[in-house]
Amino acid sequence: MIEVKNVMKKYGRKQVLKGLSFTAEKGEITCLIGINGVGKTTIMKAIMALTPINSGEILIDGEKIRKESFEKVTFIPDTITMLPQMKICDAFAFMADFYKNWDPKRAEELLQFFKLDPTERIANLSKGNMAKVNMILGLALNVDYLLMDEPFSGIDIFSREQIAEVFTSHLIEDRGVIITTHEISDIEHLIDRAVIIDNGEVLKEFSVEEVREKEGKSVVDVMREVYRR
Amino acid sequence: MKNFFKLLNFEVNRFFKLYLTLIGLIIVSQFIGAIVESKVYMDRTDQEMYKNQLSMSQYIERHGVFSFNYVFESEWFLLPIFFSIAMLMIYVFFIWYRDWFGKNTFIYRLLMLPTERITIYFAKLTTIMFLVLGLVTLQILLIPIEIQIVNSIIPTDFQSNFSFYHFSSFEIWGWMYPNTFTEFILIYGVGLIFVAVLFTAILIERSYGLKGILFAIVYGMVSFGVFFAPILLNELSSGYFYSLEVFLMLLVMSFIVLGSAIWIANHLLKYKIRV
Amino acid sequence: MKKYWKTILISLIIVTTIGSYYIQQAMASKKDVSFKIETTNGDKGEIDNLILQASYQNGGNIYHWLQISKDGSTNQISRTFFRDLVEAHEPLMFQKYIQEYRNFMRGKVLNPGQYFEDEDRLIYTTFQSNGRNKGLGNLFTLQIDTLDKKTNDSSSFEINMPDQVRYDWINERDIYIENGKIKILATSYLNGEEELHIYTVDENKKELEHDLILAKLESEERAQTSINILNDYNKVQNENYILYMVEKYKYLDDGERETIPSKMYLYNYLNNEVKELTIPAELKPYMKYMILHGTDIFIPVHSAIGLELKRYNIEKNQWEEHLSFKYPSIANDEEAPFLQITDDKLYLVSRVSDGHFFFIGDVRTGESLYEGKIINENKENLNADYSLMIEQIYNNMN
Repeated sequence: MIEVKNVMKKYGRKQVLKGLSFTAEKGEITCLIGINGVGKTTIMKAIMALTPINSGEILIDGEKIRKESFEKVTFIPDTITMLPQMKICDAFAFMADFYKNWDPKRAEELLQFFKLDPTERIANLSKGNMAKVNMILGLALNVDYLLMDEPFSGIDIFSREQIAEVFTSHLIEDRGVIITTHEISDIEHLIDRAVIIDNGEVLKEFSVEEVREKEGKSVVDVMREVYRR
Repeated sequence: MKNFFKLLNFEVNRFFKLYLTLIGLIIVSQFIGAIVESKVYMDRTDQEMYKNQLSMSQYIERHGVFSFNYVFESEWFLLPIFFSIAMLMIYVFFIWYRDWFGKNTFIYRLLMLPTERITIYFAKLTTIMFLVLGLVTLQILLIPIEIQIVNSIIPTDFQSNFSFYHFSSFEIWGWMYPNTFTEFILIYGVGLIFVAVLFTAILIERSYGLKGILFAIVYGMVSFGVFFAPILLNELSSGYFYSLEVFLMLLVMSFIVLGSAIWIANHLLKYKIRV
Repeated sequence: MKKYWKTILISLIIVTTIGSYYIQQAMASKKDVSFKIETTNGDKGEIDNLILQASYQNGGNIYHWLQISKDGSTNQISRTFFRDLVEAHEPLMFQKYIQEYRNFMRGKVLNPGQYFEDEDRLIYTTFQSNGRNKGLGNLFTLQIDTLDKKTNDSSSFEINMPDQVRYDWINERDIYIENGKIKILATSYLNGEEELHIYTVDENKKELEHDLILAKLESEERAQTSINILNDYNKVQNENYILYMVEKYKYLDDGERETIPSKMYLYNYLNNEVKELTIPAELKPYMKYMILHGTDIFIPVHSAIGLELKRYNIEKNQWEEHLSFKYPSIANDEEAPFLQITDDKLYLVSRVSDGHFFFIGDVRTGESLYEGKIINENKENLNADYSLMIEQIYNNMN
């Protein structure tokens, strides 16, 4: 489980995170929901120690992040994390070189599934294809936790469908996933938990299925409620 | 440890093409210089001998023999060197900043590698040392070839002996090619410390943004001050310390400066860096 | 491993090239220049304890320091970095002081004129000013440090020079100590005016007792004057007399220099008297080379067949029989012969065709004690027109 406890962060004069707390369990897809600039990307980066926090605690399976943690959790930001002049196969070779948990077979499968050419240079890829490659870089790692920042933003509908298919497959099943989005309608049917964030704080954290069954509300309904307050 | 070599190799591969181009430039320019300066010298000599009806030995008596300084102090020789130095200085910054800017967010990947983040620092530091030492080595290898080129153009009577000792009147060569190996290690060690401090300053800027630039400058100045403190101390106490003692103090100070550069960089990379 | 080839290649090239470069440098100690002393005549034992502090020039403008003794010479080029740090280029005398009295010697100026040494003590004097009033004259403080050689205790006191003592700088030239009085011979400068002083300090009262001005030279337009002290620069023990010469040049209208006959003076530390010496006309050209030794003044006159040492006895106030030393020598325009008279012995080094002639004579008896030659051992490393200069000859036993 990934625990975010009372995290505060100031950026310049602005208090970006104001005591943010939530948890994400293994085997569940947790979605951070909120409008742009509310702190979703920031907290993801903070979990990966890619940005510092002022106070609070972030634990991954009960531990603070260390170098071994990067074999357990990975982050797929909305930009490609490889050199643009690299070919896709070079990028995979890089991952294989450094990560014990890289599964080259799975990478190969995903490559075929997304119909991508391994000799293509990353800089020459379309936005949609780049997002797919980025996703492979995360999915082909046998990690317990996957953090994805806006995986669907700016992607054409067909690519989106392909990516969504991956979400329902075995590739995601046993892992803990945290994704952020501001387009909730696209993925409502995929997620297990929702965390509604506004202004650097968690407004509401709930199980999607529970709320649908018990209160008959969709996530969007809950959002409307919460924001109206 | 193994990750260090992987990252080092990765960085080397990144600069290799540019490096070869730089090396090519240096070779071409210096060889042309050797040829041009020798020919110019011969033309001048021939003219002078003809004008004043001098024999070879008469000319030599009056004007001396060919000096390799004609080549080694010409623009053909020096320009590529200055250019390389400029390139290296730029690369010290570029090697970090390129991973943050442009379409490049490779720094994400580097920071998410399952390795101590300071390994990135060490790999980039070693890369710079490779670059510098590689060029130093290149020059050592080129000079005998250039001497051959010169000696194939000017006749034996005008040739002179070349010794690395009296390389050139520019003092800087004495610093780059010192007489003993110990001095070599010391001088390039200081260079290493200088780059390490620069790296840490860059990381300070990357961790704290605009006010980071201020911190970085202060940090740089403090490191400089600490390093030179023994010399200042000796001056202020009007030579109270003997050279050996000043040297030992400088050695201690350099370890302190290097150690703190690495410690601060490690702390920043682990807890303060921002993408 | 294959993908590491670029890194491996670069590392290999760097390591091999720089490695061989420095291995070659280390072996180039074959390029070292070394000298040795060959005995041709006389008692070989004479050179047993001698160390010649010398420097040579091998084309170019660099002087390389080295020391020559009966065992050969210390090499300069193969000096490692650390040897250079530890034994810098101090004259031998100071190397010894620094070795034996390391703490006492800290921060001290290495000018022999500021030191006095006898069996029990080593004393250092220095005039300090803040150096800021150039042209108007600075105030000075005289600092005297004393080291007891046996107990290794040191003490120090300062005397503020009176207000009217204002100069641009003061150069200490000699120290004479007896009966609790410290006499300091110093030249002072203010705006081109030079003075020769004897400052007398009472050791026990720690006071400045007396300021005697032996000579005072005013700056004149289109003239240059200087005071030339002919005592042995390196002697730190008491010498009872100071031999000094006042030289004057006038600049003529056509830019040429006209030398006005110099005067030679003798100052006696014991009774504070100054006497002007009359030099016979035929010896006037050699005035600059006069040597003071104990109670004698010698004037060396070199010739093609040897050296004539004219001798003047100070106490008897008369010229005495001169000493004649005969040896083969070649008149040499480029290198002036080196001559030193210490402890009743005469040391001479003079350039000859295949090296340097080295001669030791007894100044009391006129006997020739030793003849030898300083030769360069590896001719291929020295240009034919190299020059070797002797700075000082030390006797290791002192």
